[in-house]
Amino acid sequence: MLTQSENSQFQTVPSESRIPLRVKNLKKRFGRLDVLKGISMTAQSGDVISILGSSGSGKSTFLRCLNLLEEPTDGEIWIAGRHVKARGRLGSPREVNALRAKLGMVFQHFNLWSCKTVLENIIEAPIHVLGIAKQEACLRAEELLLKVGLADKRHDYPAHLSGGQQQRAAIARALAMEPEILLFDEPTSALDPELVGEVLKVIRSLADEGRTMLIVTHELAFARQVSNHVVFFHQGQVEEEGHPDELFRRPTSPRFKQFLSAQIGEGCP
Amino acid sequence: MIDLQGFGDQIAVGAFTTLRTAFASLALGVCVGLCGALAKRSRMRIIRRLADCYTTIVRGVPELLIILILYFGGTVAMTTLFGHYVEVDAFAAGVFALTIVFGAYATEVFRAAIQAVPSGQIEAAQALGLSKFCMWRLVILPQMWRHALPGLGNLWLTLLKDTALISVVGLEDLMRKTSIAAGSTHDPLTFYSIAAGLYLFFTSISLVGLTWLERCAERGVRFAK
Amino acid sequence: MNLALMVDVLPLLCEGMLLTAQLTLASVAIGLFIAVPLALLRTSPWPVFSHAIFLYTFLFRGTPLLVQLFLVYYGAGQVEWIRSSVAWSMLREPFWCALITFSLNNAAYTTEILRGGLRAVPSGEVEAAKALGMPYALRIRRIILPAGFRLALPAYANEVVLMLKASSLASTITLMELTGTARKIVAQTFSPYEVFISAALIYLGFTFVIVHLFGRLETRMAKHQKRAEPGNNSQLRARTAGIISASQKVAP
Repeated sequence: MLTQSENSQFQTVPSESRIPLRVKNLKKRFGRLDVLKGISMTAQSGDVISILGSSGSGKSTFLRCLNLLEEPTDGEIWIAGRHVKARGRLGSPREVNALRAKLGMVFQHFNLWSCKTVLENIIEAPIHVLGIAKQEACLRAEELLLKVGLADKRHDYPAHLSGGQQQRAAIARALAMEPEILLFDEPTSALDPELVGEVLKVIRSLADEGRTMLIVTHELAFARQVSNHVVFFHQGQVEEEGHPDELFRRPTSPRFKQFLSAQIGEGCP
Repeated sequence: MIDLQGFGDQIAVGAFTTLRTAFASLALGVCVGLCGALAKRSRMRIIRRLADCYTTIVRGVPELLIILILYFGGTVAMTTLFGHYVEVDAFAAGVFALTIVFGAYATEVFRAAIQAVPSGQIEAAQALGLSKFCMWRLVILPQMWRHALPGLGNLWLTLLKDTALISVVGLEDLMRKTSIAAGSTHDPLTFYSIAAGLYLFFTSISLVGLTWLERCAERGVRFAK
Repeated sequence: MNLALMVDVLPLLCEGMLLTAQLTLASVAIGLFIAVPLALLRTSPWPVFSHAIFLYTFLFRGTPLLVQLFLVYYGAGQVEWIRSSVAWSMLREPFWCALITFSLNNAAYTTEILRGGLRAVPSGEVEAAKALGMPYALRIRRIILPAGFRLALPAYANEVVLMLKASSLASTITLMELTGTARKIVAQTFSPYEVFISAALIYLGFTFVIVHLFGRLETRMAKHQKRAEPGNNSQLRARTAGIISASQKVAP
């Protein structure tokens, strides 16, 4: 837990701006339901943090609060050292959009724009938000498509792709903004089992590049392999966290133990 | 209070004629629509073609022109038939024209509604050995209404407004009565505003009624499940 | 039936057709121009706008076009400030009265159709745009409007045909468009069948042209839709059609 003096120091010291993400005491309430009851988290550059938890534990809401798709009720967020969400107050729309451009979001249901081709999906935001020339944006998009293995699908429409291909295209779309952090919201939950592997492979290669990532996932084995930090959410709070090897081998919280055995019992990892 | 300058009674009579025309056309138009939908599902190709022609033509020609054709054409036909000048009754011509228009659109609404009845229901009826007539009466028609209701509601609102067109051939409806009043008092703004208000009142009441009907139909479904 | 007469009146009717085409196309164009911002404001989160625009569409869709036309044509002259303004020189002309009324009427219907299309845009696609940092105006322009237009296209094609048919009402305020010309010829020749049926055929032809053009536009725009599984796509279309037809009604 940080003291208040540490906190104010954090805002002024320039070296701190290298920390990609810092969240303090984030709260979210829907009506009378407390979904997030004060979450604090720090991601250093290159960190891959997996967020686990049963459904309804608030893990997706947490990600959506980070890029302000949901407005947090309370708490503070710093992205790359910029204070974007102060206590109960959101920045201006311009600041919010600048923040969102720094966070790459990958959705459970891909959310590709269905009337644009894969290539158009990728170059849309770089051209119109970052102001990159179309030619350059296309060149970079081609590189990204090569990276996610979709170079031959650039002129296809999302409806003509498999779920796995759509999710890889969505990852390329997020990468095109050159985000500081990538947020994955259950990226493989909507996929047929045989398509999960190809998406996880892409995410793993991104981790190997040293990108900072937050991954909400149900794939325990994957979380264990790829992340250097695992957080377990329970009822809107961080119940347990630590290095994956440590955490999976010797879980301390009874709820996390229960969660693990239930997941393994289902035959997942 | 708005000064009606003694035309209040006339306007009330006109409004009553408007409603009478609309309800008569609705009743007849629903029958035409049902027949049209059945014709479109007929086994005989010629009947299907005829039904297609009917809906295509009526939906591609202005309502006003259809009213004019039936009114003036009807007058010419009657005159030739009886050998002396006979003027067609504007009410009859108007109801006939609106029935034809409403029927064409209703045909499409009913056709879609019949299609929306799950084929399993029809198969079940066949499996029970129901006769074709019984199947329609007991299985398809009762279920079809729920699907047809929103579309029919829209058509009713259009019909209500289309009655104003019959004033062009001289039916003494709300529109015609207000025109007369507007002409003789030199105050068109007031009288046409009153007409607009009355039409708006009719459509609003219809909307409330339709919402209620739709809710009833939905409730029936939930109970059935 | 006198076929020779039908051939004779055809050139005259075609002249009337020109005015019908002018009125229809101009009203549709102006109507669309008004409807796009109104539909956006109607779906906006500010209740002041959405309520005000709802009132406008309710008034225009809840009353007969004929009443609106007479109100403008006969009624506008009674209002002192209109008579003394520059607009009076326009409102004296039946053509401008018809054009203004038709445009406003068409805009009201188009607003509700577009609103249905905008509401049918998948919320995930809008969220993706938000998450990429696209500002509100950019989201509207690049994502929501193009997708909404596509979804509203079938209903809008219908609306354009309805506008063509509605333009026949201009004949009641002395305009010599297709129906007006036909009525004039009938009054001179006393042969309603030949003349009115010729006019009806011209209207039908025009309707077919509109339907065909929109059909081509739809197939061109549908290339992004699924080819392999038509069931999926037709489900979306049915859902969209449901939303739009629900919004067709005078009230939400």
